[in-house]
Amino acid sequence: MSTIALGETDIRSRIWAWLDRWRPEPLLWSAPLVVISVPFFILPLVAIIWVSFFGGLVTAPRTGNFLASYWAIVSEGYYLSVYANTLGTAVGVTALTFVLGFPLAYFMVRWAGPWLPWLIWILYLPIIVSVVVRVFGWMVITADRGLINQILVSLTLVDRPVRLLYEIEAMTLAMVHRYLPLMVLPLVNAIGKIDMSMDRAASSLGAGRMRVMTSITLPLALPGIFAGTQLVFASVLSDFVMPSLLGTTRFPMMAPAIFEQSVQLLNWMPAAAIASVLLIFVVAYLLLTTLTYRRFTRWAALG
Amino acid sequence: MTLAKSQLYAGERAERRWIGLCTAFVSFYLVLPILMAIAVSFTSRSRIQFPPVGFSWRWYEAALANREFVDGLVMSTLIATGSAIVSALAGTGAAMALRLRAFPARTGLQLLVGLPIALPAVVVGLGLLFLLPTYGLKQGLVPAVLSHAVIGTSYVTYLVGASFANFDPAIERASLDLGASRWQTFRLITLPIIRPGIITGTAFAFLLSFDNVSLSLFVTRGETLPLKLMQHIQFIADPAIAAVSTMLVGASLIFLIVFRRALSERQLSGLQRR
Repeated sequence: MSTIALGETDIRSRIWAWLDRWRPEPLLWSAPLVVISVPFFILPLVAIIWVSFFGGLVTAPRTGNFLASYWAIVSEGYYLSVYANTLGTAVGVTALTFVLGFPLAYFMVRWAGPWLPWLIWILYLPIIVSVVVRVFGWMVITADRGLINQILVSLTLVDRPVRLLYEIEAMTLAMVHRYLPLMVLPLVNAIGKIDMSMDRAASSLGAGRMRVMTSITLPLALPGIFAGTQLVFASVLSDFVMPSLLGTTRFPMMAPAIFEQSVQLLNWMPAAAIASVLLIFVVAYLLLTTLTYRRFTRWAALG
Repeated sequence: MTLAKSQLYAGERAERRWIGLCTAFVSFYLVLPILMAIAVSFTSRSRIQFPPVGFSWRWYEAALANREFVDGLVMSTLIATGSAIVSALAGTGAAMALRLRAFPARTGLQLLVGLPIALPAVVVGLGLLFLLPTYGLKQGLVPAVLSHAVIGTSYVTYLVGASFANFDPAIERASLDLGASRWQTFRLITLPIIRPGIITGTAFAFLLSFDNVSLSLFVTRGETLPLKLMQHIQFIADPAIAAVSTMLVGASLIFLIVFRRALSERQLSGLQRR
C-alpha cells in the first residue's frame, strides 16, 4: 500500500511530522543531565538498596535470608538510638530554624528597606563560607575557655565552665546556624508574594496584629514553610560534619554511623541497610509533607 | 512591599520594633562564628581561647607551610572547577528543556533536577563507592567532579530557570522568522538573557563542590581541602585551622565582589526549589 516512492518533500515533511510528534528537542537539551545523573545519582541509589538486600558489588553476594542486614540494624538497641537521636535532632533543629527564621524573613520582606542587601549577604555568608570555618568558629564559641564560658564565668553565673563543645549543645547551635538560610530563603519568597492589601483589609476589619499574623500571614506563607522545613529536615538527617566534629559519640547520628560501618569497619551490608533507612526517612518525610501541603492548601486552588 | 512610615498602623510599629530586634539577634548569630574564627587566627597561643592572646602571623605561616593543606587546596580547586563547568553545561541544558511546557518525561526530568538537593548525599556517596569498580574508576578526581556536578546542575537549572521568568519567547520567534538559525538564535538572543543565571548558578556549583564533604568522603581518598581540615580538626584543633579559615573567608569575599554584579538580590532570594 505505502510502497509508493517518496519524493524529497515527502521525506522532509515526514521528518517534520515526526519531530512534531516526538519533540526530541527537550530530550536533546536534557541529555547531558541524564548522562551524568544516571550513573552518578540514580544507579548509586539503586546500588544501595540492592546491596542492603542481596550484597554483591564490593561484598560477597548473599544467599539465604535477604532481610538479615535489616534485622541486624533494627534488633540492636544501639541502632534504634541512632535513629531516635537523628530524627529527634532533625525535629528540634527544624523547629528552631523556623522560630529564628520567620521573624528574619518577615522583616526582610516588610521593613528591611536599605538593610535588605546587608541582610541578604548575612544570610548567604554561612552558605559561602566553608563548613569547616563555621565548625571552627563554633569551637571557639563553645570551648571550655571559649566565648560563652568566659562570659558565664566572668558574670559568676557558673563556677566551672559548662561543657558545650563535643556535646549535643554545640552540635545543635552549629546545625541551626548552618541550615537557617535554607529555611529563610523559601520563607522570604513566600511572604514576598503575600498581597499586603489582605493584611490591610484584616486590620481595618478590626483584627489585631496577632490575629493578622495567625490568620493571614502564616497560612499564606505555608508554601515557604513547607519548602523550608523539607530542606532543613532532610539536611539535618544526612548531616555528617556537625555530629562528627562538634557532637559526641554518646549521641550517635545516622550519617556518621553509615561512614563508620562502611569505610572504617567494612560492614558493607549493614551500612547499606542504614543508608536505605535514611533514604526511606527522607522520602517518607518529603511525601508526607507534600501530601499534607496539598490537603492544607486545597482552598488555594480557588484563588 | 515596603510602606511609607505614615501608613503604619498603630500595632504595626510595636510589631516592627519587636521583629527588628529578633532580626538583629539572628543576624548576629549568623555572623558570630565567622568573626570568631577570624579573631582567633591572629592569636600567639597554641590553644583555642577567647579572647585571643597577643598578635602574630605564626598560624598563617604554619598553615601555608602545611603540605597537606596546600595539596588539598589544589585538589579541591580542580574538582570544583571541573564540576562547575559540567554543571553549567548540564544545568543550562536542563533549564532549556524544562522551559518547554509539555513533553513526555517532563516530570521525570523535574525529579532528576530536584532530588539531588533533597536526597541525602551520604547515601549517594556510599552507593557510588559500591559502583566505582564496576565503572572502572578509582576514588579521586573524576568521580568527585561528576558526582558533585549532579548537585551543582540542580542549582544551575533553577537559577537559569529563574532568568527565563521574565523572558518573552516572542523575541526568539522573531529571530527565527527573520532568518536566523536555531543556533544563532540561541547564541545571540537566548544566551545573553540567561547569562546572569548561568554565572550565578556556576558560582554556586563551584562553592558547593569546593565545600562538599558528604560525597567526597566516599568518592575521594580524603584529598580535598575540607576533608584535610576535618582530619586536622579531629586530631588537633589549633589556630592553624583559624588561619586557613580566615584565608578561605577572604577568598569567599573576593569571590563575592567578583560576582557581585551577577548575583542580583532578586535572583538570590529566588534560589529555592519550586
